[in-house]
Amino acid sequence: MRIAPILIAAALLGTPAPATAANQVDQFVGQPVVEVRVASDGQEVTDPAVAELIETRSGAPLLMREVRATLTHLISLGRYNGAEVAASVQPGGVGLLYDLRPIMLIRRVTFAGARVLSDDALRENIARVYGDAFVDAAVPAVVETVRASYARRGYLVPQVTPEVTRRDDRWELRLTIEAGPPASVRRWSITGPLAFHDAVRTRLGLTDGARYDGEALDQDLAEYEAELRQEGYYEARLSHEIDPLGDSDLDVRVIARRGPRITVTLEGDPVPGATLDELVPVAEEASADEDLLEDAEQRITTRLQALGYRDATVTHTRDGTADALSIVFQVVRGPIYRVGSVSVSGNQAVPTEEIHASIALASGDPLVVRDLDARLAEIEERYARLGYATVRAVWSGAAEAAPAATTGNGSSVPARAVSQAIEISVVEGARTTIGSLTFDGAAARSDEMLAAIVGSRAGDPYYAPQVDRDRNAVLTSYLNDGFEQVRVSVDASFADDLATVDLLYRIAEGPQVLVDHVLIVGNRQVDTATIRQEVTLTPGAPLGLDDVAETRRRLNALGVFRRVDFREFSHGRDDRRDVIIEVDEAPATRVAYGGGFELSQRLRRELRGGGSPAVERIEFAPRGSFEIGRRNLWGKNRSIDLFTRVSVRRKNDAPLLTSEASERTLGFNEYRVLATYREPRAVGLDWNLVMTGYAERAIRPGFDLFSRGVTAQLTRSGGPTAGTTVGYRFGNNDTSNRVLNREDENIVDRLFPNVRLSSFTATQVRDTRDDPVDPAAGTFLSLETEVAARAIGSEVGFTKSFAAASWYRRAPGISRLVVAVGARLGVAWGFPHAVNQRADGTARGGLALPISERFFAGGSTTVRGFALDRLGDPRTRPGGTIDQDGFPQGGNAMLVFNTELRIRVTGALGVVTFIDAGNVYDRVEHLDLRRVRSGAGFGIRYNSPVGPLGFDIGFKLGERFFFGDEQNPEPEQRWALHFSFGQAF
Amino acid sequence: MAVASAATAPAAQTLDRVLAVVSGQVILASDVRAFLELGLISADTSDRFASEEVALTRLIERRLALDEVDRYRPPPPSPARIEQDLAAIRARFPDEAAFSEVLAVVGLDLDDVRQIVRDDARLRAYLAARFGDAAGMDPPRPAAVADWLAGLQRRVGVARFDRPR
Repeated sequence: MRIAPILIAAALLGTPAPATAANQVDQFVGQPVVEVRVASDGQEVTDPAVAELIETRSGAPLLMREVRATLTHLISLGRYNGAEVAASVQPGGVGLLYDLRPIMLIRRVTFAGARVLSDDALRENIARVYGDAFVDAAVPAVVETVRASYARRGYLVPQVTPEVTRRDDRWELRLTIEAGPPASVRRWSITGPLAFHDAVRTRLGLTDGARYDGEALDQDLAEYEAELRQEGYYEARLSHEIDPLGDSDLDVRVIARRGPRITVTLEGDPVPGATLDELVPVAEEASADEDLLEDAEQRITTRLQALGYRDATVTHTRDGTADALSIVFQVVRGPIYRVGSVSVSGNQAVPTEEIHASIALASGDPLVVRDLDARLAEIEERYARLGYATVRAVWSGAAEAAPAATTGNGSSVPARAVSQAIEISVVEGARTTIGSLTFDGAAARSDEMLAAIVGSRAGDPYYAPQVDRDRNAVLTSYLNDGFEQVRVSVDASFADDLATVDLLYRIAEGPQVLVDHVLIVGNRQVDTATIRQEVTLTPGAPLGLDDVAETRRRLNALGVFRRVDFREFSHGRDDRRDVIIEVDEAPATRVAYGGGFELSQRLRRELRGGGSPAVERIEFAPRGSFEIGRRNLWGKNRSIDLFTRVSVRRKNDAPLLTSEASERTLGFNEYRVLATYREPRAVGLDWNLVMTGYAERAIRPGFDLFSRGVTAQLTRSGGPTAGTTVGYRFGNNDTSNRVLNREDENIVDRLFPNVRLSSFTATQVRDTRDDPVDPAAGTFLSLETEVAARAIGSEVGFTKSFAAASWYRRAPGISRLVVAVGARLGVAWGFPHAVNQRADGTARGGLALPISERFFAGGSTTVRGFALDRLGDPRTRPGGTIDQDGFPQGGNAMLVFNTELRIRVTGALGVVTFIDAGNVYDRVEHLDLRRVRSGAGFGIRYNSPVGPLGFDIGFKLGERFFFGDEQNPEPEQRWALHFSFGQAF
Repeated sequence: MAVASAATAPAAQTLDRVLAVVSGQVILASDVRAFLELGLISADTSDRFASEEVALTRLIERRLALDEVDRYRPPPPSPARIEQDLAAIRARFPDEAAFSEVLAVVGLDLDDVRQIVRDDARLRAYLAARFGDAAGMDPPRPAAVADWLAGLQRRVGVARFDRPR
């Protein structure tokens, strides 16, 4: 694997050195090294990143092999464009000095002298070609670029003198420019049709003796060209050339080609659903050449055939002179072909119904040959997967009934329609299975290992694409182990009757490349140790593709680099490489701000007469936000972010306000402050820490909210499928000015409980699902426990646990069918405590949990026979959680079971059928499997680009309860409808 | 801390230096010496500086050519062929000690030399397949090979650091 060939060119150290003939080096080789120094620009280098690359150690005998390796490492750092090592006789041995010439990376360009063009424009031009920083070797090219810019603007002989200087540890290029005299046009000449010359001269205002500015002239030519095309001269081309006559004179030649004015028309039958410009893009392509016109013929024909006009023909003619060209497309649609009956023959391995479903042709549909051929190819593919490598599926059509002639007005409507009887013939051929799998040429892998890598087995159907996948799997396995030159081919030997095939995998492994050193360059703020934590490449280990990709992924995931590049540096051997990871750091500080306004209709309580009714008012509230973030704190990829948002809004606190009084209370009555601190691998452990503090004051429809709190989470990944999280949260909400109906009261209490909570949580997850949104295989297990106690500042104490498990499998032999099974269990206990009277008059006490912490069930993700949160027994029954009016109160225990069959009907559509069961219990002691309530139903799924969208209908099974007025109670609704994103579980 | 230049220090001798980096591979002064001492490159001149200059040019061309060879991956030479070529190199020295001494001075070991002869064999096979059996890198080289090498140099933009000393 070679990531990017690089070339570093530079002059070596300028100091003359003695000759290095073997006999002179010879006197040092084998002598003990007593001193090793590294210098750059005459200064000692103490950088640990450099020191660790020196392989010649004090006390060890001098080996030229180690000298060579050291020079290679140092150059591969990418910081130096020259390296030399000198030896001198020292008491007791030999002293070594590595002398390094640093690369001059120029980050700033300044200008001086009698210049004319904008410095900023020149700087922008240089940056566009050479980047924000470039090495000193690029200076001559930069000078040429500047010269060319001046020449293009009419200064033909600019003097540009470069000087590279160092300022504050940064290299700077100073360009002294003498623009010289501006050039004048001695004579304009125009090539092209003579009749067009005057028009060009007049339109462009060409006068002899005028100042020459190539850029302005090109812009004028481009504008004129666009005007001509607007007039139908689609092939107009205008450009210019110059002939310098001295330092300040030149002749300019305008090359003007107008071409004919082109008109395009369609004659004959109409082409529905497309515009002339789409079908014949002469204007867009600025051309009317024959290739384009033939493409247009084909485009129109294809368009008609896609509508069922199988015999459509399109021809074109061009007629005109050098000044005018008329292009006429003659369209003959012919009859429209429609599908009549469809029959299938010759199939044995694939059922006729399945072939009909694949063909998806209904009587009366337009017969589109291209689509039908594509569906037949899908059928052949289906057979090929079963081992029928030579299968052929073809179709034939026969007129089924007399053409339905429909004489139109002129030729603008189809002359007739033809109904075609479609006959699909399948010639299955022999079914081929794999007779044997053997491997040849592998030394680093045993046959058993290779057999485990390939997916095919003896006896499996032979399917060429699967063999290719197996070959690629073997190849990837070697590449991931550093065998970058590996070659894998497969010889297939078929039996005479094609019943079996023997597969021989031929493997030429080539040398295995090992990592010699991993060098990190380009980092200034980010600590090298922080980067190394993410590097999965290890010195001495194979240089594998996966490791390179994983390291790149991890470094990008740090979010502190704009760019991460990998380079490899060879030591002249095939088997060892230095890997250089070059990073480009992103700015450490991020600032964002914004503004806007909100116009909304809100409920307000106002004094009116003797009462204080809630009234709806339209309110205008300007708002602004400011966000600042700092990443890579202390070089350790820690980050801190602060987000603030304020709105100017009328306050609505008690005492109740009149509209006049309210005007006086405008202010920052809504705000949100959110501070987040992140620390990967916190305190030296393999845990990622996220701490958040927030305070929010908001005026919501029907109530005012003041919320504040802090959370802290430590997360540890246990590989790609497992994770552990421990956390702490402390928060409190105050809601006031509540104007809510009964149901909204419950929702607000659940979301914003008026209680101070302080709790610790721990969560363990194991997830092997193939897709978290729409899984078809794997399992999901999670266990979460939370403890809140007054001893740690909570107003209420409780312990709560929630366990979830789900399992997904494709049905054997039916890839379209997925079986999903899930179970969830939640239990909670409140800690006993004394009743606590709060200042607002509400009381806290007993064993009850705050409503926000209770369990609810019912809805699209739990038991779908019930509406959201409506699962439960009446409170009149032991363990019941639904009050007399039918409002759910939640409970301390919950049980949910789900079973679902998911069937994919087409690529985008699917159906599901399910049975759910479960219940919510007021206390854990009342949890009783005999009292589960169940529902069953079905639904459809649409696989949108963002994931499956679902619509389910669930029906309650078993007993229904009555709620509401005691005299006239209403039964629970028999069914419930649900719209959802994603699968139910 | 300022450090005296190696060249001005008393009795300082240049052991090795970087002469070029081509396609991710460093060419050192010790590489030039190695190819000359082992007889892998002949310069047809008695002037040491001139012969080292010729050798550096040839090493740069060799590296460029090997990159091209790697793209097409011709089959590697047999181990027997490699050992045969290695024996031929050994035979240029009066005894094993002299051979080992040269290897030590240029910083190579036997595996490095095997790598060199393996690459040379692959290169010869590539040139034979592409330009005919008689084609080689050594002058006088066929015009087609010279054009090919010139094209590689233009494409990669080769620049040498300094002439060997």
